[in-house]
Amino acid sequence: MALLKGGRFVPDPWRHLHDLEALPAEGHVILDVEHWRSAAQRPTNVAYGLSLAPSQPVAAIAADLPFLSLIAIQFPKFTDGRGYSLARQLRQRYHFAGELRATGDILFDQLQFLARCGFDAFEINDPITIRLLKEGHNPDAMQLFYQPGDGPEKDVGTSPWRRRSIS
Amino acid sequence: MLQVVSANRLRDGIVVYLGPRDHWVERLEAATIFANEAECEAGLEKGRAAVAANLIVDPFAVAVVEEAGARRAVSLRDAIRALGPSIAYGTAERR
Amino acid sequence: MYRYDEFDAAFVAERVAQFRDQVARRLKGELTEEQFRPLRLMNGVYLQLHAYMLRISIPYGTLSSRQLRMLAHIARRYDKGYGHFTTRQNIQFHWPALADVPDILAELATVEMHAIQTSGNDLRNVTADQFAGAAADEIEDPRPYCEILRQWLALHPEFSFLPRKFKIAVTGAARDRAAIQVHDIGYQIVRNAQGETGFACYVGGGLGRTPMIAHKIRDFLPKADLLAYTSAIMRIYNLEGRRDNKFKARIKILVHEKGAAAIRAEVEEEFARDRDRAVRLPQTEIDRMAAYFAVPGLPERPVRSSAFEARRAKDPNFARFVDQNVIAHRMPGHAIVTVSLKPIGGTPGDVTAEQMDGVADLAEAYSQDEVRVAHEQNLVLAHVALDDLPTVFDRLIALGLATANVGLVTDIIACPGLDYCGLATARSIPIAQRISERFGNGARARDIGELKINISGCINACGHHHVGHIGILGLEKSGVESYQITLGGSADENCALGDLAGPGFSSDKIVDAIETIVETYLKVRAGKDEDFLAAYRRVGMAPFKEALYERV
Repeated sequence: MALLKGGRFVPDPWRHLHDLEALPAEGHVILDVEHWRSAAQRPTNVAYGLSLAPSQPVAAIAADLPFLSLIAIQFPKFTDGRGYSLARQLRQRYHFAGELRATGDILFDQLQFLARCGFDAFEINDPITIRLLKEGHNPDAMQLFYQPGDGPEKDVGTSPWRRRSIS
Repeated sequence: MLQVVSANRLRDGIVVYLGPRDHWVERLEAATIFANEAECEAGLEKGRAAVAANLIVDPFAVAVVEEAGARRAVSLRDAIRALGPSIAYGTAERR
Repeated sequence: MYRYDEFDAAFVAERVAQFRDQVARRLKGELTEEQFRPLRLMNGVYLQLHAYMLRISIPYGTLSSRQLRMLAHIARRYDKGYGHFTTRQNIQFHWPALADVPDILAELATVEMHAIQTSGNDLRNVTADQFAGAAADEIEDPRPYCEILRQWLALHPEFSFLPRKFKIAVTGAARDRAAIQVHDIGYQIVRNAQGETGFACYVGGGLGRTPMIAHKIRDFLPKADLLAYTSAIMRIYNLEGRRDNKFKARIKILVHEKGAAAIRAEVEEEFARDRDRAVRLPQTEIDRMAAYFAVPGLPERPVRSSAFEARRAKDPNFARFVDQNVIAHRMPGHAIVTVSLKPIGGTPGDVTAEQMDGVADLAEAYSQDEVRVAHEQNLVLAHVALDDLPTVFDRLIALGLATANVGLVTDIIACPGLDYCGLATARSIPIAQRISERFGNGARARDIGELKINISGCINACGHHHVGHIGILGLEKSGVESYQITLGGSADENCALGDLAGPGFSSDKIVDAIETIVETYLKVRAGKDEDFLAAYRRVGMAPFKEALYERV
């Protein structure tokens, strides 16, 4: 596994907690919603991230967002596109400003779609995707878009739905 | 039942069959015959190797019969794959 | 028609380069077939029985002569000299090499065309009334809205991995020629009590193995909200559409399982919450887009054309062609000509490269440089002066494209079926050819009158058999082709799904069975004015069933 962030592979300060693992006293941990809810006490010296399955509605964790620094959305299969809509809702409707991380079956050709929906970190397992990125292949194949998205882009000044990348 | 191994060639999608010396050939008549499904497993293994080598896509076993020296695929689908569309097409259709 | 600006051209060029890279990675083995399949499908590339198939987008079925000539060129250079127009107003080529597809797409880009999202689990080509902009009964031309949707849905980051494909159709007239009630979303341009135009919205229609007619979930949507409302529907579907079973993944199943009222409430809530953040369509932008589609400045022509009338009086073949294939244009002195791609005994929807070039020449000389593709798999010359009709007719004869059978029993819609398609369970084309030959192009077919036959080669229903007046579904029964018949379907504003007549017929018997149905109709009809569908709706299945199954 390698963590891609800001176009580079970086060390990952976050750790996924196992189902029954106790919360640590400090550090960065990612846990699932049930685990998060069941914790009697949450040490304050810890940065929390929640891992969402694609079937879990964002509305159900809306009240938790102020306590969260990261949301990880699971992609069990790259063809399961629910996570894109979850990300859009988190960023647009709930103005979630923490790290939005895509986990699971994350492949090279999906990276730009993911980024445009608000993801800014990617846990990548696919060896070829990792190799392509390390070799300098740019996953942002498109510079022009017909819809507003998250990420660095600007209105091109013609039709209101058009955008141009400024990265 | 007699079997051959078929697939589509990766590069152009054309129907091919596993033939002698592990070549992938375009004619059903040139395909290597396996006596039954169990023996055909060896051919399918070569198919999987050819998938890994980026030569072909979706290898599968095709049941065939040989009658009066002619070979044909048993199912209509496989027969159409072997012979091409059953109708005249393109300029041959001669409007 | 719409013309690309620099942005559109650059976008398509980027997309071609991206796909070229993806194909190169596939050929090198850096993408597995499983990983590549969704990527190639998003660019219209299938792997079928004999070869790859490339489906090229013809947005809302409108083509320029130059574009049609490019399709002819592609047919010659990269394929076997012909193409096949589909029931969704696209064209597909059945023999391209994967390695050539990037070059084909680059050639298409030079004439402002592409294959983006002609397949895959994404937003497909938006279809429209083939007479849009020319029809006399239209409130407004739907194509500006189709074009806005076409742009907005291209490589949409949120909606590129939907549970299943998603099809939108738009019509501008009360007479529905775009089959909007059997689409995932159907928009109909309507006028409200204040005299404003907007959209009625239908959701959850579709054919396939579980055919359903759409539910109207909104009577009037302001134009400014078209993208916001579409986005709300898409998001509900993306999040809640079933992903556990491919055959239950279309939005029609979600609407059916949750109920139209519940879906309406969810969509309205989603729409209300994000309306302000969504892209709204200012009137200036709508006007700018509409200007592209303004009916071309047709030259003044006399309402009555003496050349036309004289030919009509003396040439019965021309008169029949006019009766069958020509309808009124909104501009006096002009007509809309449908070019039938259903020659007697031919393959429905197929055209050769020479014919494409010929139609392109005709469109350039006589129809404002524009060709339409109808979902019935015919072509349309939408703006022909009556004065020019005799010449156009003569040239269509020379091209082998003057069959006067639009709407008749031989104007058969058929998918490619088992002759080409990897999903098919039976052949469609030979059945269409034999039915066509049985009824021919003479007095008998004209006496039968309007009768739509639709043939699908499998349960996925690309031939739209459920909405054929007579529908034929080809299945496989213990290794043999078997054909089921449905009666009474219709895709228009009185949309109905056909009723199953009974057990299927073998390939040998199916044409006789169709003839039996037609003969029964001729016996039961109240008069020549009562067409097949009207007669069926009046008398029901019983007499047909009896004729098919109970006679010795």
